[in-house]
Amino acid sequence: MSMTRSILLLVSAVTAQEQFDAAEHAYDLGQFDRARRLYTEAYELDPRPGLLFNIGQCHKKLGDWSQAAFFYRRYLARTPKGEGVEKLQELITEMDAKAAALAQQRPQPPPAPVPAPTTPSTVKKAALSLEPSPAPPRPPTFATPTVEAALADKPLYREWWVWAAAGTATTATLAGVVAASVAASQQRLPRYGELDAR
Amino acid sequence: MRLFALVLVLAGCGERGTAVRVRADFDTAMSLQQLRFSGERWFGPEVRPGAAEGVLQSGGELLVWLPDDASGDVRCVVEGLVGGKVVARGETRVRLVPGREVPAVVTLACMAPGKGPGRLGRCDD
Repeated sequence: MSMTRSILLLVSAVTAQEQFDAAEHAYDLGQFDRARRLYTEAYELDPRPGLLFNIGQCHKKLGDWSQAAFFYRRYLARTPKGEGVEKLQELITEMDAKAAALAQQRPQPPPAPVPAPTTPSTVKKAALSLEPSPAPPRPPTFATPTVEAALADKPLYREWWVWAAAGTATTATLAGVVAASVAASQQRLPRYGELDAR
Repeated sequence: MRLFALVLVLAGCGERGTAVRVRADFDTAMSLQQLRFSGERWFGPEVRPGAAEGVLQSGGELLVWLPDDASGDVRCVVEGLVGGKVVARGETRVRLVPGREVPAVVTLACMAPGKGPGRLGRCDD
């Protein structure tokens, strides 16, 4: 029974890791909604507090300020003694302020219908008077889902070394993949099979 | 789909029991041709490959399935053969865990006269 439980936990951990990796990939590509969904699935399999922060980061990138604040709070609740708590509180305050500002910008619901009869022309005028709902703000992308990156004063994408590091990492990764492929094709570790001694 | 995969994994694990994965590390300059694996009363001696087919590369593994209730320590010995003659040897002790696979990494060293224990390199130097 304990073995089955251990296997279940192991499978969950492996699957959660896969979901996390996929989420990181999506985040790197700026696919924040997909990343949010994958982080959520990873959390369902393996509820690590850091995933809550990452989900909050995705909401922030999507302009869902209130949701971002919610997940930042959940992260704080799960890691009360973690580092960067004060700065995270500031982040929550910022998200709350943005959510409040966005709520004020939203158009007020139309007034209750007036009992007096209206003509088609007046209805059209009323409809035209409604301002279109503002599109949710899109903060800059290309940030990593870490507390430090989120709290940095200067956006990471404006740092020259980020681009240099990204270029170097990409080149190194490609070189590594090619080298590994060549090595794998030239040399394979020997396998001596299995021996059944039961 | 995921549930199906999980069921497959569990079903597969149910058929598996206690095992030890023996890995043989050695200097390829030894030019070993075969390896002889043994684990006290639990398994072996087992020579792989069955016939010498050339110089072996380091890092090869043999997965040994043991009875489900196997437990305790086992001394895994790997001997390196050249022309059917033992020229290198290594051993390690691992603790078996019922229902789990445990790794056993064995580093081989030359047994030729005049070679100190742990000396790596071609054994007929």
